Amino acid sequence: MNGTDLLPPERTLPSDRRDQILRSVLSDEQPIRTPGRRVRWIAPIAVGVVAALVAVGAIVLADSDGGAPSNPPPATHGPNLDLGPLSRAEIDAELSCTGPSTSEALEGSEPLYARRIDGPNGPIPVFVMPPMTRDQVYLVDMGRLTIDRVPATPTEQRPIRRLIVPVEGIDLSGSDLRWYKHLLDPRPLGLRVYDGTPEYWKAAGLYRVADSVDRVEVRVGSPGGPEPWRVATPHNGFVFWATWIERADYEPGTELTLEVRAFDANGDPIHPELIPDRPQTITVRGPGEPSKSKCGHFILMR
Amino acid sequence: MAESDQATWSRLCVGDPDALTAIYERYVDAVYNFAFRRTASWSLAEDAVQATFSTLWRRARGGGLPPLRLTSARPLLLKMAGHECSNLLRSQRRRARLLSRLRPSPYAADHALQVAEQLDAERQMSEVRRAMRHLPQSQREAIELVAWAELSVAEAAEALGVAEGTVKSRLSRGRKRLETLLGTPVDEGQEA
Repeated sequence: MNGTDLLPPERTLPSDRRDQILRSVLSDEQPIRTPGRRVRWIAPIAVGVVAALVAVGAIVLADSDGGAPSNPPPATHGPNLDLGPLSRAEIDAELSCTGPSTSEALEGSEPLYARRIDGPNGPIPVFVMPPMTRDQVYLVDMGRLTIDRVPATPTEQRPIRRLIVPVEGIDLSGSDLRWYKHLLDPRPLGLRVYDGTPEYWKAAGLYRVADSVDRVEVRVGSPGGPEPWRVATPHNGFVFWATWIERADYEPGTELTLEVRAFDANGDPIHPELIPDRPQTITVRGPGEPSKSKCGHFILMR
Repeated sequence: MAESDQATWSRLCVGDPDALTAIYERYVDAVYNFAFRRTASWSLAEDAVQATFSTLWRRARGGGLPPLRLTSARPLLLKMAGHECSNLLRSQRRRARLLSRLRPSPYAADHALQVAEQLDAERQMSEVRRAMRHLPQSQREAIELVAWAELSVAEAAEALGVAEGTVKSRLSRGRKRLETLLGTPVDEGQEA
């Protein structure tokens, strides 16, 4: 008996999928290298992995020391989350918070995505940086950093890919693995952070999308009813979305819902099966932990 | 007469898209089935195919592909696919753990739009993978490459970066252990 008798029969990749993958691979225009640097990230253990840096806020239930405001802010901040491009100076200012090593490593690198995104406490910078070599991926203690890999290139069949926030180390060794584990935060949809705003709840995520995706919309629902849909617009194949509740005066145990939907350029909805974040319920856990960092919060992806 | 892998590979090393297409057409199904056997998921196997050839193409365009030392590109492609499968499985485990912290979604049932045949194959493969988890990684790799993907011992040795004798001994020990676990004989595949 051959060992393959244990196994299900082999299959051929369906011809349409086969063609799609090949086209996608050949059209992959991701930067190959950062000019002037050695590209050691293509070592076997890191093959296919892209390093990037994103300033991002994710799930937040902030400290309630400030108490509920006497005059609650409006229920929504306007329909479009995208408030325009970030300047290089703004990016550099955020990078400087990560310490000289990271800042130096990324000096001169052009971001793949750099937008100013509306947030509950005003605009937040969100950016994705191109690959860094392994030895350049070094961070000081931001306390709220993590690593991720850019997902495979979206296709028409799978037009939206989510960046998955890991909770365990990847195949790194030595000091890389040590700091990687240090940066982890086992929370769904991102990180638990505190950015100085005392009263809100927020969820956010970053997608890599195909050209056919025109916009992503997101809203959160509470016992008082759903908030308005907030609109996130893709740029250069990335789209960052966020939603929040202005007054998070909910007791621990309160259930909030999160919904994400997407549309193509014709205004037709993209099938919910193709959207990584499905409608889900998240339970309020309690006050968040204030971060020691005075800077924004970042996700480092590689 | 078809161009040899080595000739195609040489063109690929200088970023020739036709060479990538040729290598892809020759080995996409080998990578696909290898990835399925590693992940027990046809969906993940598709992702692994895309990731493997994307990586191959990026390395080719960046001038970072090693020369092909064997007559076939398959061992090297399967080695790359193995790395991609590991990455995908790690991501899947993380996602599963994250989702386990959330309450079940009322929409979760909508996920299961798979055909029965596919599910049966994945279930069968999952059972084999469960048994494989009792083996050391080195023995698993030897079985995957030689017994399942039908590489020669020499090709597997090249892919794994070890001596042929090491592959043989890993294969022998892994096969015996797997036979005990599954109650089914497992041949050692090609010895050439």
